[in-house]
Amino acid sequence: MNEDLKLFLEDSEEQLETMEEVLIDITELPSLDDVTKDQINAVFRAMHTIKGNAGMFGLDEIVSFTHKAESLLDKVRNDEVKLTKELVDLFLKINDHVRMLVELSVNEQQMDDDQKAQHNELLEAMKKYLDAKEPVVPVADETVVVEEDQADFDGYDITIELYEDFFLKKEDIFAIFKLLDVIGNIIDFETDVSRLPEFDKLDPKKAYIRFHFMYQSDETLENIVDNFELLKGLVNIVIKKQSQVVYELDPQHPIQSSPQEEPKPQEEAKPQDVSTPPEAPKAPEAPKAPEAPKPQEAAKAAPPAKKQEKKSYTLRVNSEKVDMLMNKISEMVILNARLIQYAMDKNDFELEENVLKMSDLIEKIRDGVMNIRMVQVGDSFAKFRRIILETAKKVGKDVHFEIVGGDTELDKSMVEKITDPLIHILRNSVDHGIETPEERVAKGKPPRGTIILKAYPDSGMIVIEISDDGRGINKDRILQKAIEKGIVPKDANLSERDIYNLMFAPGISTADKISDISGRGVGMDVVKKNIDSLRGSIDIQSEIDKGTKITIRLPLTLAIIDGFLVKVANVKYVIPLELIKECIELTPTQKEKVQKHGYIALRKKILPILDMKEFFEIKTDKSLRENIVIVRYGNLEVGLLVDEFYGEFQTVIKPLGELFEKVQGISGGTILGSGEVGLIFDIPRLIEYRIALELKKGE
Amino acid sequence: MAITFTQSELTIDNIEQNYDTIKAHLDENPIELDLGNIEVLDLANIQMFLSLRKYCHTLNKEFKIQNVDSNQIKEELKLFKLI
Repeated sequence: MNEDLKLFLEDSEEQLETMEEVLIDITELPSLDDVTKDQINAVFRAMHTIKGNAGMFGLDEIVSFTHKAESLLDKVRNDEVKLTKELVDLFLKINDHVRMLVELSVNEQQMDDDQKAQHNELLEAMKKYLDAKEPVVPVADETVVVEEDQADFDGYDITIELYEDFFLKKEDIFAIFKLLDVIGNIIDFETDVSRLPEFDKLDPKKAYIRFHFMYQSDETLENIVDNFELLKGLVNIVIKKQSQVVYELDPQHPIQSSPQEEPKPQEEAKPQDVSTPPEAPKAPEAPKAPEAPKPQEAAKAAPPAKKQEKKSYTLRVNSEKVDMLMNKISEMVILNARLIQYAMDKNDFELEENVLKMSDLIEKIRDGVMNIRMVQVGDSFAKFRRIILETAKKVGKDVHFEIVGGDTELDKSMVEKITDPLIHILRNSVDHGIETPEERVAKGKPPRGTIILKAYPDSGMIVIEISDDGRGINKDRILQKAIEKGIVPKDANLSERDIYNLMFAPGISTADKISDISGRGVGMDVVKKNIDSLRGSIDIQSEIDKGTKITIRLPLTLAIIDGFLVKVANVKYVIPLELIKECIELTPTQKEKVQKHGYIALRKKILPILDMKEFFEIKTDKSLRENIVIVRYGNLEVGLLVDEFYGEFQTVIKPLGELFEKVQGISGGTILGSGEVGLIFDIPRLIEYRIALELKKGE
Repeated sequence: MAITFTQSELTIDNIEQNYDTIKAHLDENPIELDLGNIEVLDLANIQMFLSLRKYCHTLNKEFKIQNVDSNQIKEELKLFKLI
């Protein structure tokens, strides 16, 4: 797939996501009378943009289909067709179908028979609405000329000058106009032929013309000009707003003003100089002289010192390039650690100082690149709304779905990897969690169930909570199933948390019925596996008839973390810095308490201690000095007993490989400055382990 | 007599030939272009037509484009006010 098609695919996906999101918003409104013009316009714009972009690639099937959809949406926004629930459903189907058409087109595939049948069905469905009163499709829609009252014009004044060799590059200028037309309206289009020589002196291969038009768009200037960057070297484009230049594609080749740009009386305009807009078809040569600035515009243009709009651009970069950069930074971090070690070994203070400065810079670069990879989770979560809607429809439930904290940022690859587990959990929630409206009413609940997907940062991690107000999970049934399947012995004495954790065992499902949505017990084990692979954790809380809350905790990134280096016996370990609350030296009294009870009292609070030597079954003499690193995860805190502290350490996380991946308490490895391997503590698991020990003691 | 073109695609690749074809008819009045069999018309050729129209204006000649079959070409010519 070439780069342009890739861009088309990405743009179309964005448009379809927007469209879908707005349509889902509409379905959630109490009444369709509450639908705003803005919502309809947003859906219309999405179809319009896809149509225009598809036109540029000659994807006629998409163009004609989206054109029909656009016409129907036009009727809706003009109140010629009433928006009904069926029509919203139809637009959702259109959305899916266009997604499929785009995918087929970019992969150069044809529709199969089923897809064709669906295509025709949707066209037929749209036709029914359109035939009610077929709107005349204005020519302007297909060309780009749009006439509008310019009295209050507050748009852009755009001039495009083709460079001499433009034709030889075989670029399609109509593509530019179509592009502009899809994101706004071209008004008063003129072709400036003033530089065009007499016919007998013409070099037909050279470009002489330029275009001038007024342009109006709801898009920001940066979004408009984004489309022009590809034309660099082929044309120059100057955009003015209220007489001020706000953008110039190629400032090295300024556009000289042609005589036509100077306001002059109508009668002085040379007929042959300007190709004018439409009104006089019998005399197309008759020009419309450019108008003198209208008083209103002149007034607006009056303050000469008007501050020029600050430009900021969005750059679309292939994520592989960012990954590559991140890999290189990881290598730099490792190399830098070795340099620090070398400088320290050699007692070379000057070298050490410079290396530390470099270390600081690398850290900044690392943070910058990591920041590039961060995306708002809400963008990805938005697609779940459709899944919830469709699943609820399928199983006869009425569900309100809410996303909270959509602006929380998470590493893009993490978002991608968490998507499937979340879909699984949400489907389960609709299928098994939320009751039917009748059941809910009988229980004294509102007929409409609620599922909330919430994201927020907490102690250097991202927490994703999926909560519902459904029937809750019957833990006795889980235990019974687990016993039946031989996963736990009959006389097992399990805590509530242990029982819920059984849901992650393969083959455990509490669903009465198996549906095509969920209930086969295949899935939650995969969910857990996926989350484990992200160094995250998952926890379930539930109450019968009150609801269920599933909490997922994820690290912010998968690549490099700030670590804290400690020593246990003669091995160095890394603790993720963000999970550390504080470090203390163990006093003799505390030491005694640890040995006796396994905890210490710290500021009138009991702190469970996990002796890391005991945990790893390392048999050495006790160190003279022992230290505690207090780590926290969620609302749990545990002190890890270690021998020595070494301080902060930039940690490039390396996977342990299959052989070691099941080692308890270790989540990964890293390379230390000395070249040794340092192991990274799996804090969530260590805390879980220590708390479970405490619970068992209590039983 | 209306000027006709032998190719169905008027592009930068054959523009010099098209230019010569038109040049051979510059003495005529009106100057008429017959685009009956034209399926592709690029901007270079449109620019050439604009230049031809400018030439006609200077010499007070009538300029006409006729028999445009292709809808797309029709729209493009309308955009440039050539029809």
